[in-house]
Amino acid sequence: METYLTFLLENEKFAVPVANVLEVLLKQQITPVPKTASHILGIINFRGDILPVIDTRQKFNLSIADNNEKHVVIVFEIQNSDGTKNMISATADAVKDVIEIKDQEIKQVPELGLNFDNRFISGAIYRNDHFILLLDIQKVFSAADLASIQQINLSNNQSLNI
Amino acid sequence: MDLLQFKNKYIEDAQDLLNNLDNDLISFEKNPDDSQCIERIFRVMHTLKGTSGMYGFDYIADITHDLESIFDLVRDNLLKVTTELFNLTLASVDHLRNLLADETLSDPANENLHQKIKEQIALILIHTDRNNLQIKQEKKQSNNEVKIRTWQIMFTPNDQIIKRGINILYTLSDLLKLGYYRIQEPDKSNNFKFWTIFLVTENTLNDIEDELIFVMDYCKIRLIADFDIFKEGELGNRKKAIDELPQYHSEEINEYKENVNIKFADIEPKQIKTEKHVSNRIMVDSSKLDHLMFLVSELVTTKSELLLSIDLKNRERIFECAQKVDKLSKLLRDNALSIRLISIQELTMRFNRLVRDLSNSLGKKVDFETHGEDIELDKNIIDNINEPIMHLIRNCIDHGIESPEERIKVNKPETGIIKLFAYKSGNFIFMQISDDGKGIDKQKIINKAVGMGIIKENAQLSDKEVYDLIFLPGFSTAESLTQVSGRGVGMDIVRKKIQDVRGEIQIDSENGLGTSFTLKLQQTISIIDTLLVRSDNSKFAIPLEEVENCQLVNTQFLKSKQNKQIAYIEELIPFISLRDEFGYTSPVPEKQKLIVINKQEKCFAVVVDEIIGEYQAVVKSIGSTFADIEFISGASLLGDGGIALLLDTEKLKKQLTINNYKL
Repeated sequence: METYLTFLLENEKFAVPVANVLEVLLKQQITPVPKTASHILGIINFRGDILPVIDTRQKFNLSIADNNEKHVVIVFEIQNSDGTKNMISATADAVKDVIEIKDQEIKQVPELGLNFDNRFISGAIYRNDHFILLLDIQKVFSAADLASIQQINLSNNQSLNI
Repeated sequence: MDLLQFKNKYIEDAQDLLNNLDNDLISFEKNPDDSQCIERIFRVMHTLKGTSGMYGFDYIADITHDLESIFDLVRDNLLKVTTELFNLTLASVDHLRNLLADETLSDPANENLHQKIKEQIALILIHTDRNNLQIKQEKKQSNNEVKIRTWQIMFTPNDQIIKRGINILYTLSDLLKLGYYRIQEPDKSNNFKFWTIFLVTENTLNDIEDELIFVMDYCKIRLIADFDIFKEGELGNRKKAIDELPQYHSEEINEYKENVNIKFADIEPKQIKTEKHVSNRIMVDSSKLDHLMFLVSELVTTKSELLLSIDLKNRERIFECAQKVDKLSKLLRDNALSIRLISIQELTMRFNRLVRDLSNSLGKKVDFETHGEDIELDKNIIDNINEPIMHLIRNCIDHGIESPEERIKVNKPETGIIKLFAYKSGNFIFMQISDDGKGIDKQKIINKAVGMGIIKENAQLSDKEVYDLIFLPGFSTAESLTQVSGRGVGMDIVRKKIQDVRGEIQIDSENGLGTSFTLKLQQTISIIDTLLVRSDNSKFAIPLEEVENCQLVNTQFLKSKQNKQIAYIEELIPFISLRDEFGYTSPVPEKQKLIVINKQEKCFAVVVDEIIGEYQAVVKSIGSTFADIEFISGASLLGDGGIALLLDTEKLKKQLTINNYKL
């Protein structure tokens, strides 16, 4: 059994393990960074650290929100493959509640029939006549995935020829 | 601290020790009569051996023990110092570094190397022993008559000693090298469970304690006579003179007797590897910490004063306290920054070895000189410029310095010199790496650039512009690619790494006389003085030292400049509007501000909406997500909780001048 935080994104309800959630920011000033990939909204000041903010709607190929002011920012902590931890934040339309999910409740997601990218969905549960989709947080925000969208500067990948 | 932390600390210490060892070995090779130097070598090896055993690095203890034996012979003038010997020793030191990462020899290559090194050392020991032990013995004998003493050492080992991983055998064999000994086993009939060692030696108590340093807890040492008790027959004539170590005494050594020339071909000194392990610890001058304590106590006092003043509603005193806090926070900042500074000696130490190995393998003679080693830089910067400087030194040796024959032909001394010169000027630290080699052939660079289509054939370039071409990606004029340097990658990355720490690099060269690379570095990069500006709704910070001039301009006037250039002090300089560049769409104000930026003697201008003022920016990285972002090199939190983006002026300049090459 694990505890999840649920949030809304365009009529769809998603859940992420609370273990990965550091904080939910309600009114957060986002500083845009020029010339970045379109799914990055900008940066925020989170307890003195500077974090990028991912536009979750764009990341999931959903329609772009009409009003950028009406959203919340969720700060996640994700573990990299090498054991280090990264903080990253992402937008959501609203957070709903904290629920507990048993392992046997979790069902496979159908390949088809979702109106967004389902690579990031690890499973689904059925509650109160609604489906809640479980997000694979590691996959959504892995640094490699973010970087692949960026224009990769070749020289960054070469070390000195020593 | 758990065991792992101790172990990590040991690894860090061991790396420092090995670096010291490298340096001492190299200076000893240059100057074999320096007895202090060999003492230092001994001390390092001894510490290394002892601690390695304690943390389970038995193979390291093993090799250092052997090396110690060799240098024992060197110290006693029984073994001649040769280049081969140093190659072997340095190869062993490198191998020790491998062992730090691979303590169990899990990599077959390491295991192979380990065996080879062991064999070579054994060969040396056996030979020397065969030929010279006699002399050594005689020498000892004659010394014995001077001021010999007998010591009684009571050694009570228990389980602990095994748990601590101390190898008693090494300790004892070292101890017994000091002189004659006789060991009395524990008497099983009674309860005394200690070994008694009678040691007859001319060495002092200190020497004995040094050898026993890791088992001192289990030992009692006592002087029992001012003479050799065995010689005088005081203990029932049980004189037993043992001066030879058993491992030298085997008969099988005869087969090596003819084989006088020891071959070292199997063990090539390896190129020094860049250490991936970046130490997280830092050595701090205690006076800096004292000052920190002083400042903190001041701050605490001021805080209580402030609280009291607020209680009393004494506005004047509150104001005074606020000023005091302001002053203290500045001092604290300076103090915190100074704690992070380390001297560049950390850096130069590693290069001695590089120069030695590389010049030997290329058959060149090179001296390496350093000046201004006490100059201090932020630890981050030191860690970042290590590789680029190493690369520059490689270039100097490989492409700069000529072979001895060539040098003689052009009337230069046979031995080339590479100098690393560090000095402070204004707010910057300069590091100059220069050689007295053949210099850079400008024509060759121009030809190559023309060939690559970077410049036009008849382009008129200043010397500086020509040398700048070297920093373009994929640009290398080396005719033959050596394994050392020059595969077309290199100089562009050198420059990038230096720019990462907000530094600059410049080349000067005189054909036939040599080349010099000058690095201009900030002493610290975490806090910088900036000019805060606004464009649309975004705030940007520009390093203040690069700002040369600010002007008010009409938007209409800028629009009329089709070629995006304006006049500035009898010169046309390009300008770039942040609004255009970053695609801000809000209405443009009628009047804008023009900020002239001077970057490496090249001016250009940035157009912004408004100048907010000077701002001391604590620069933070904006994370790996933005690793490839253009024009922004960091961010800083503002007093109101907002964020200002630090403009990357180098990128802006590049954007503006990129077309100039093709003009």
